[in-house]
Formats: sequence, structure tokens, C-alpha cells
Amino acid sequence: MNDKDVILSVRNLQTHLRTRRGVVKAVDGVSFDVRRGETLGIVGESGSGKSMTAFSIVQLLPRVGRVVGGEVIFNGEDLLKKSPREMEKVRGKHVSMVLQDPLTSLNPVFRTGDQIAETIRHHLKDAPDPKGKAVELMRQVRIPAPATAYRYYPHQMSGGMRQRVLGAIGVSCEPEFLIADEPTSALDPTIQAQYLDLLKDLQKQYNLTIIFITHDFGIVATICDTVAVMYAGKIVETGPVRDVFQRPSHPYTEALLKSLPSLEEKPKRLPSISGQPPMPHEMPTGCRFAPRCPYKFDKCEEYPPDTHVSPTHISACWRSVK
Amino acid sequence: MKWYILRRVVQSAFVLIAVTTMIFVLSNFLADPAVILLPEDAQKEDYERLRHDLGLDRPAIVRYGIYMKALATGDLGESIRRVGYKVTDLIWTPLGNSAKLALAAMIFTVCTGLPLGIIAALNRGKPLDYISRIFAVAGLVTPGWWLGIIMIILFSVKLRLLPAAGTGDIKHYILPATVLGTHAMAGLARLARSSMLEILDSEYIKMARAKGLPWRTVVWKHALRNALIPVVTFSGLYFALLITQAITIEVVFAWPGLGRLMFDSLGSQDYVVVQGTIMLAAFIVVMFNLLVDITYGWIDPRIRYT
Repeated sequence: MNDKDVILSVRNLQTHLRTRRGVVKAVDGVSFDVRRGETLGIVGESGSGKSMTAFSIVQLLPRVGRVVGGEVIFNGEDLLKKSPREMEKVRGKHVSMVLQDPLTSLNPVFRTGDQIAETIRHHLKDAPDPKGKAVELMRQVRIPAPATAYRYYPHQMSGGMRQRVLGAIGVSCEPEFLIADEPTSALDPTIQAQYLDLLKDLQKQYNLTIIFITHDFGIVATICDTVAVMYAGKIVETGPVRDVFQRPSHPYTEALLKSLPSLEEKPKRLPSISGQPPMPHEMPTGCRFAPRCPYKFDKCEEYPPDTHVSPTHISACWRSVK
Repeated sequence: MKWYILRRVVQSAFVLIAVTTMIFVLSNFLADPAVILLPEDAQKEDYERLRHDLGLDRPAIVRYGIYMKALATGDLGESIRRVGYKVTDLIWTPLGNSAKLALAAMIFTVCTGLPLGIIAALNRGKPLDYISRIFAVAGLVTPGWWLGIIMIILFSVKLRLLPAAGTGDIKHYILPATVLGTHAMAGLARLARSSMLEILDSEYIKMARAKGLPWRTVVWKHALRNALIPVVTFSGLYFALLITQAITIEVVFAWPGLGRLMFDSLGSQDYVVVQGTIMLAAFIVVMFNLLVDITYGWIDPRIRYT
């Protein structure tokens, strides 16, 4: 792999949440690389730490959250070493975000167009016509009648339209990097597909590198090049989407893929993973998936090392250790 | 917006009709004014004559008609103690005085309560937050008349800095306005704090930060405008209450306002004047409700368009 291509390199990221019942290691030693122009999917269930990983990168953690270790090297600079003021220049300009819920992510008292123009005005001080650019962006994200839509307040738009506005804000300053935190979860399936198409087009047009956070393997298959599967604060398997789908090496990935409905066979019941993810305060010391794992054996008492299944495909499971 | 305002105006009119009817019923049927007015040794004929003079011997429905007709033309009746004086004449000067005092109190409230609440929210869990919350709770639990007396003793009697009573120049406003506004200040501080905290936790604030906006823009533009929605409601409604319910404060500071007028009229059992002041109070409260709703629609587009 050519290291020059790597735009974002996360090394041993650790993020803790202080809660009433003690410290939760929401992100516990996560490492991955994203190459320019590529889309990385981070998959995992609620509470697996996938969103916390994203918010650690841009340092927008909730009040109780803090990054306690690791590095986030973006274009050769460690974002974790930047001051809050310096981060304001990175967010929206170099790394932008599309949040999960389009219904609540736009400020209800400002016109949607103005919310796009505001970002342009802030980052590109000498932009000649922020309003015009905002209308142009709204046209690009395929909002019908963009000049009229500019004047709409968020509550006058449908969820799909609002998510497009968020997308327009995301690319308004032509960033290199976009983090999309489950942007389609709140949309219904047809709108979802349209939105993913739009995202692909925007990616081509702006040469965007994307981290796409989702719990939906179907979406990963549609738009991602590589995938990282998270479980209980750790990445358990990562690799090119095709490899991971065809030869899942971690039992968790395997179980997740099995639980997807398929068109060929129609079983009476979809297989599910028995048991519950571990409680954040009672993490197993060894492999975190062991209590639910059908292949569990005595070695699983110890946390497995990241093991190369192929040069690009890594799994944290003792069964992969040769 | 036009239809929204029209709808609210019509609704307010109905509320006023209901309120005036209720006041009429309460002041006419709970007690017989003629009995209260007459000396203990009055004869039956005196009683009958008084009832006739006051128009109390006519059927209730007729009296109600006369009363509503008079109201519609802005006539609140004639004082039964100060013969020859119309209630409307008696009310104007005190109303002006009360409004001026309430305005001063409101300025004090907004200038102190709002910053106090915002500072608390921005410093959540830190010493400044606790100090501001102690202020707020103290303001809420301190009775106005007690605070008024203490302030008079301190600033007028001991320090001889401010006048203790009456109207006049700006110095006369400081003590009563502060005392009158203290309760509202405390309420406003708590409201502003909780509303600001809720908004700072919202997704659109996270989004504003993800856009790279500086913290001060996020707070003073994106958060404040939303936090002001409940604050405007509170301030508007409270302002109406400050004008109309400053009875104890006006008595303590000998302030010749509506509260004093009502207090004095109650003492002299001038029920027509009492009824008139209550009516005026109700009218003011309803009008401010209407104003608040209109302002609200202006700040929050979600209300304007539904």
C-alpha cells in the first residue's frame, strides 16, 4: 500500500465516557487507515462505538466524553493535538459531517438556504455570492425548485429533502473528507437508495473520501470500498468489502452476514445472534464476543491479536492465528 | 402570518367576553353590595332605596345587558364612594404609574435574569452555575413585601441613598422596581438556563459545530434565538402580571398605582372600582397574551405557518 494515499490514519484511538456507573471505554484502541477517494464503512450495532469513533475524529464528543489516547493523523497532522480554535477551521472546511437525524439536525428558526450559505460565508470569506452558491448546491443535491426551497424553513421540508440540505451543507466548502453518521437511517428505503446515489455522485464530483457509519450491511455493499466491523468498542474485522463479505473471518461478522435476508433462500426464521452485547461496565477481559461465540475455546480468555488473513484483510480472532 | 394574527385576535375577544361575564357574576351575586354599604342600623326602606339607586332591583339579565353595553363603550361605571367620579377617570393615573413601575421592573428582570441563566448554562456544573442558581432560588422564595421592607431599612433608613416611598425621579424607581422584578428575575434565570441547556444538547447545535462555526456564533446565534422562544412567552405574561398584581409592593412603597387603588377600594368597599380594576387587569393580561403569541410567531417560523 502506498502510504501517500492515506488521507486519514487513526492509531490506537481511545475514547472514554464518564457515566454515573463509572468510566465506559466507548472506543477502546481503534486503528484504521482511509485512502484518498475511498469509502470506508464502519458497521456495528448501537453502542458498539462507531459514532463515538467518528465524533472523536472531529472532536465533537458529548460533554461526558474525552479522547484519552491515540492519534488521528489527517493529511499528516494529528487532529488530536489541535486547539479547539484550530479544529473550527478543520470542521466543515476539510472534514465535514452529515448527521443521522435530518429532522433535528437543522436549526428550526433559520431558513434552510441560509444554513447552507452560513457555512460558505464562514469558511470561504471571499466567496462572491454565498446565497447563489447555496442555491446551486441545492440544485446539485437535486432539491426541486432550489431558489424557492432556499426560503423554506426546515419544518416545511420532508425528511428526504432535509437530509439533502444536510448533504449540501456537507459539501458546501468542498471538503476532502466527509463523515456520514447513519445519514439514511431515518429515511424510507426508496429515498435511502436515492440518497446513496447522490452521495456517490458527490463523491465523484468532489473527489471525496468518506467514512460511512451504518448498521446496515446492505448499504456497505452498495457504496463502500472497505469495511470495518466494530463490536464493543473494538474493530473485530476490517478489509475490502468483497473479501469480508465472501470470507468473513470473525465469528461476529459471519453471524451478522448470516442474519441478512437473502433472495435465493427463504428460511422460516432469520438466524440471529444469541445473547446480548456485553454491558459497558462488565467487559470480558478476553475476546468481547466470546460469551456469544459458537466457536469459543480456552484461548478466547485472552484478547486475540489483529491477524492478517490476507495483506488487506485483518481479523481479531484466535481462529485466524496460524 | 396575517391569518395567524387574525385568528388570535378573535380568540382573545372570546376570552375577554368570558372573563367579563365571570367578573360580573362574581361581584354581583357573591355578596349584596347594598347590605355592605348600609350602616348597621339602616331601615328596610333605606335598603330598598339604595338597591333601587344602584339599579340592583332589576333582573340579573337586564343588569348584565346594561353592564356589557357600558363595557363595550369603555364605561366601567361610577364609584359608589367617591360620588361623581367615573371609574375610568380614577383608573388612568394609577394605570400609568403601575405600567411605568412594571416596565422598570421588567427591564431589571431581563437585564439580570437572562444573563444569569445563560451564564449558568454555559458554565454548567461549575461554580458560576451554582452561584447563579443560588441567586435564582433565593429570589424565588423571598416574599416581595419582606424584601421591600428590608431594602427600605437598608437603603433609605440606614444608608439614606434612595427614597423609601412615592413617585418622582428615577431614584424613586430603583427600590420598588428591583423588589418587584426579583421574583421574575429568578424565574427567568431558571427558565433561560434550562432552555439553553436543552438547546445546547440538541442535534442542530452539534450540526452547527460540525460546520466549523465558532463557539460564540453557535451560542449567540443558533442557540440563543431558540432559547428566546420560552423567554419571550415568560416575559410577556409576567409583564402583564407585574402591572396588575403589584399590590403588596405598591402598598409597601406607597406607590400610587393600580394595586394601591384596588387595595384602597377594597378597604372602602367600593365594589364598582374593584370590579373595574379587575376588569382592566384581565384586559391587560389578555392583550399581553395576544402580543406574546404574535411575537412568538415572528421568532418561531413553525408557529407562523401552522
